[in-house]
Amino acid sequence: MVISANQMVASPFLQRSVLIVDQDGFTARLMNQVLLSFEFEHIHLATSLDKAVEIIQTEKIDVILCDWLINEDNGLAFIDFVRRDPESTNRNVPIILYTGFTEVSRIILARDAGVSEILAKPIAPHQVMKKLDIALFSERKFVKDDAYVGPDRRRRRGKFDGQERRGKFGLEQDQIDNVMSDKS
Amino acid sequence: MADNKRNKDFDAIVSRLVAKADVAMETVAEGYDDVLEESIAALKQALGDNNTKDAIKIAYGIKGAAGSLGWPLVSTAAGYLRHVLEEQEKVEKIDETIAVHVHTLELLFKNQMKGDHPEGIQLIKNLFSLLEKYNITPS
Repeated sequence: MVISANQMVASPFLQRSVLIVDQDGFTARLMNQVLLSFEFEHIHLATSLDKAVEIIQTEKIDVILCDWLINEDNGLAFIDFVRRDPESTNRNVPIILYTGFTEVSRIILARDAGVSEILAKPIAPHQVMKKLDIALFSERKFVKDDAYVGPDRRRRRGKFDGQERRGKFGLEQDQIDNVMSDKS
Repeated sequence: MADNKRNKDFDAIVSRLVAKADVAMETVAEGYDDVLEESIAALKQALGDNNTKDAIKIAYGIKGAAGSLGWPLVSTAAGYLRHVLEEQEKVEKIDETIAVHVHTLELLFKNQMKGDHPEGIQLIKNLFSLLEKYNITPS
């Protein structure tokens, strides 16, 4: 990301638009507060898969923050729609999956579905910032082939290198990051 | 040099924004006790109704929010319970195991065991031993 002199004191998210997809009202509110604090210009919220699809198809969205569990559906169904459905209008949008499902098998599923970053719950602002930094501002190629649609897994680090949060259950955040980088 | 300045400025900006978000989270946390109490009640209701799907969702919701708002042990216990509910065919005494998890959640809440409360940590260790006994610790 090239930050001009005028932008130095301003949030890098000022002209950005984000979509939160979360069935749990309280967690969604929590994430909304974090993103408001980060000064995103537009914050859209979907508590169902249908609403999420409607928003991504009609609004300009720069990044998606999506929980795994969306009502009755597997949370990955939304990611699959965005990345692979012929109707999808925003296939390359960065997707950050935030989840309490941090078992290695699930992390691999999510990675292979084409998520850009995975953020382990509980939600911590410095970790959200770190993932947004990588997802929005690091230069990564986008890969499209029969086997995989999503960001190149050979990743570059973002600028912000905040303290790692240690997971309480399943994989820890740094282990998740390794799986996401194909280092496992 | 210019790059160093830019990185320094970027770090300053993100530090400001993260600090702002931390304050916002503290404000949200002030109202969370009531939400948590309601969530534990809803969890018991769902389990009483044998509605495992809803119970998993509620446990998952508690895990996600509680850990962010000063209740890491509640978050861990809820995560364990979610795992037990998903792996229940592997658990011999499932009703008893679920009851122990719910009771632990209630104890943690009623005794306000926020942060790394020593007695709370022991309760969590007891739950983890149960998971080990049934060989359902996560991979």
